[in-house]
Amino acid sequence: MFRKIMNKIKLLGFQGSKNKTLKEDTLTKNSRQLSHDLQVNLNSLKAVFEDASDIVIREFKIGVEQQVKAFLIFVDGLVDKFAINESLLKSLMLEARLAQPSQGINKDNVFRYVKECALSIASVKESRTLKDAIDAVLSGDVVLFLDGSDTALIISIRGWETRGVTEPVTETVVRGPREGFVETIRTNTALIRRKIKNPNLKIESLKIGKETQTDVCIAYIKGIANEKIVREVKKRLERIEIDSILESGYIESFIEDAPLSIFPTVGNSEKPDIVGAKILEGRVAILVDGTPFVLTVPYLFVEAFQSSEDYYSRPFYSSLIRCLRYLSFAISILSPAIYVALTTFHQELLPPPLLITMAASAEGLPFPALIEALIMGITFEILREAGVRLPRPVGQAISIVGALVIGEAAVSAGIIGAPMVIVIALTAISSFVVPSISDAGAITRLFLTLCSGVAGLFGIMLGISGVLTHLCSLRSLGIPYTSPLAPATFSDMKDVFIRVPWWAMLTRPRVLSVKNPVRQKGGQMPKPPEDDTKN
Amino acid sequence: MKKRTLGCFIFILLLVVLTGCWNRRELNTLSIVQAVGIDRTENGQISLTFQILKPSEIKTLGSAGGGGGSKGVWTLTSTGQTIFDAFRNATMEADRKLFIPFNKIIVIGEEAARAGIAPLLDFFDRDHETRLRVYVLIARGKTKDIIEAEHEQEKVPADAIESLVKATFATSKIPKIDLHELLKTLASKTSDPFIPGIELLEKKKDEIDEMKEDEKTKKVVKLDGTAIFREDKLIGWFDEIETRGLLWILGKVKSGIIVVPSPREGTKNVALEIIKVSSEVKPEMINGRLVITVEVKEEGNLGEQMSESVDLTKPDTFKELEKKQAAAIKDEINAALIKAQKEWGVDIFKFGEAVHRKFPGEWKELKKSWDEEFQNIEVKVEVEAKLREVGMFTYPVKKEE
Repeated sequence: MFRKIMNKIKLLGFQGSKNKTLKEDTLTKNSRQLSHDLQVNLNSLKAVFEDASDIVIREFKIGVEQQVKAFLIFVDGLVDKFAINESLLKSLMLEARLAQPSQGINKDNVFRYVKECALSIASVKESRTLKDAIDAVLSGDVVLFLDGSDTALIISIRGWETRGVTEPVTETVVRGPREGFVETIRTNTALIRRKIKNPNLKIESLKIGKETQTDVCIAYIKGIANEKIVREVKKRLERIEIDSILESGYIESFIEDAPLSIFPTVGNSEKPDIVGAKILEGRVAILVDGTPFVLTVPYLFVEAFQSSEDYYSRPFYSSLIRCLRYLSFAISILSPAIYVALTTFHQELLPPPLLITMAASAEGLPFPALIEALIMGITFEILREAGVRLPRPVGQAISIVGALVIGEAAVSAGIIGAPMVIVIALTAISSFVVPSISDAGAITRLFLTLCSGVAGLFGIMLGISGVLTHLCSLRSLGIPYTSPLAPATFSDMKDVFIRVPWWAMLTRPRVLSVKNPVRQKGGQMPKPPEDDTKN
Repeated sequence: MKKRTLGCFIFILLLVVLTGCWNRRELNTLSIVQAVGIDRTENGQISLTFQILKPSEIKTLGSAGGGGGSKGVWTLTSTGQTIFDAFRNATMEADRKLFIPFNKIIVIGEEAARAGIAPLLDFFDRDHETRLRVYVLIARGKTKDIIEAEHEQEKVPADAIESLVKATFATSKIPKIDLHELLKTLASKTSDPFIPGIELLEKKKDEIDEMKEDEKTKKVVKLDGTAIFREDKLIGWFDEIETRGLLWILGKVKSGIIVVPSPREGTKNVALEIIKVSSEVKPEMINGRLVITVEVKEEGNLGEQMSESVDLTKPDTFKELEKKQAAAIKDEINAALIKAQKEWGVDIFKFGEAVHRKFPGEWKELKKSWDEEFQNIEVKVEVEAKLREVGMFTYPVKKEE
């Protein structure tokens, strides 16, 4: 059975490579040089963009006596129409007539003249191949072709409908910046650049995706980030050969260290302040056009328990909350398993009054505790999923109805025990405290519940050892996933279970082996002015 | 390789499907035993009485605010050749498996105790489900009656009896013995065990206010006296005073009231509260003879005085009270010593262990004839009793002159 599936996969892979060769043919055809003859260029472009109704080709003439033919090509909707009319067409068609050079405009000098004198636009690049021109058009640039020159001008006046910078729904904070990334990569890089005004913030870009030609940027600070990691990230990104990138998740699955693990080894965030902080710690961010989710690597297990607000609020409460996050993660993965173990294997471990209460509610229940736990666990996941997917008003209604039906009715009808509902409710609430690994948590919870149903507390212990061993075996970009806990790095403990005040946060995480670990000089703890102490 | 992966996969799947092969038991398949009574029947068989919880009844009783007709427990009696046999025979009557870890008390019938308790307790020591923290009691009467008796405040009779045993510290007139302690004493070569007694009293209507009209009498469970054993066989009973004498020697008096006559008016009483006690058994060899000194240090408070003329502002009165207190304690200790040492010759005071610790060399000889030695030991009792506080005011309650 397995062999058959493997063969099928191989077959699919082969077909994929066939498609690839076809694609490459057309690409080589397009990568040829542009012609001096405007008509040739026009024809080849028209051939390329056949049946593409959103492509606009605007032909016009420049000059008074010896009129030079020219045309603009762009994708309707991706460019700023107003800028085309005002800064391009107006200056080329009208103002060029009024202020033309003394010898007049002709085929020989038109390129220099247009580029240097007539175009009142900031970002202009030259392109000599048809491929570059086509890519530019598709990316939203305007390309200007002039008769008699084998170079086209790529004029960047992109402008399309975008979502404004709003507060992300996934990562809300009480205290802290409310801006979030948007779907446009340029806006996103600008948001990061506004946080880190440093020329060493490098934003390197590349295109991934044969069909989609998606812009991908990697951002890091030269001099802080470990060059090995940066090189490795680049290497992994360049290795990707995929037809389309529609979300950063596509890239994530190609650069993960442990693609078969349920635990994520690549982090993501929707907020510039979080990504900025991670870059400043020496991590590398990967921005992908078309999604507000920015990836950060290396991603360690403890990062799931750190929230941006920890660093903005005062350290005491932050530390308490952080410890509670670890506790609630433990509760969320363990409580159904422990409940099952206690009620079916180790009743003697319960305090007698609790046992009596639980035994009383277990009277007349039709299912064993394990089945109960599975039913409720799965029901909860369904409810959660339904609540997320449905339109918001309906989603809420569904959640309430689900809670009533499952919480109240199931208990009063004697199908599910009341303690089990409490356990599942506690689990559910706890699992939302650590959202970034709640999906891994759900699978772990199911696994541990099954372990406990098979062998009670022994099963849970075996399961936990399995999960821990697995966690310790993971790497993210070569950094041990469980560091700084295992292997223990004591200087990094300042930001694991507690969050020390900023004046004590003297080094960047050493586990990332950053180039410059010193964050700030010590001894900055605020003290009362010296005069006060004398009095 | 692939076959092996497939095999592993199927194995894991089977594990999930085949749950319940191990000792899995759901809560609603258990009979939670709260009390066990042990008796011997006339033909030498073991008869066990179990008090078993009815969880749903307990829950409804709780939510309905108590009362209600049905009880939270039911009683089951089974017989067998041995304890374990009787246990298993009980499942022929109980519809669920007996679950013993939450057992709170073991009540042994007086007749069975006279025949020897060691064979009865082997099962409770050996089995992995039983716990050693259960309290052991000797029933003066039939164990079944005591286990079945209803209690006013607790829904579960075993809870009530357990609370009774736990509350003995307030008087120190009844010992508190758990299975672990009892087994330890039984294992000792020289020491003899003692176990609190429990009995069922019938109280008449005029003695109790709250009683249903159709009942003329009400049965009340009361802790009463201490059963004294020679090795594992019951030989007699201590009353309250003798019991406290025993507990003074063992240093197990936690609290309690000592009543002494008033220094000025002999007919009126003064109650002294025991606050702090420490005791020590000191064996000595004097001219080759074993002499044991029992040193008891006690501190007390004046808790109550019924006499009108005691002037507590005077130190003399205080001194006198202290002396009377010490004398009262000494009397209690002597009462215990006379009965256990001289009359019965049972070493419930753990003198043998004290001698063993102090004179390990001589002990080898002594232990051979310890039973006779023990009866002839000279025991000196030294009591140092102090009075600390007099309460919230110094003068007695009386009319102002």
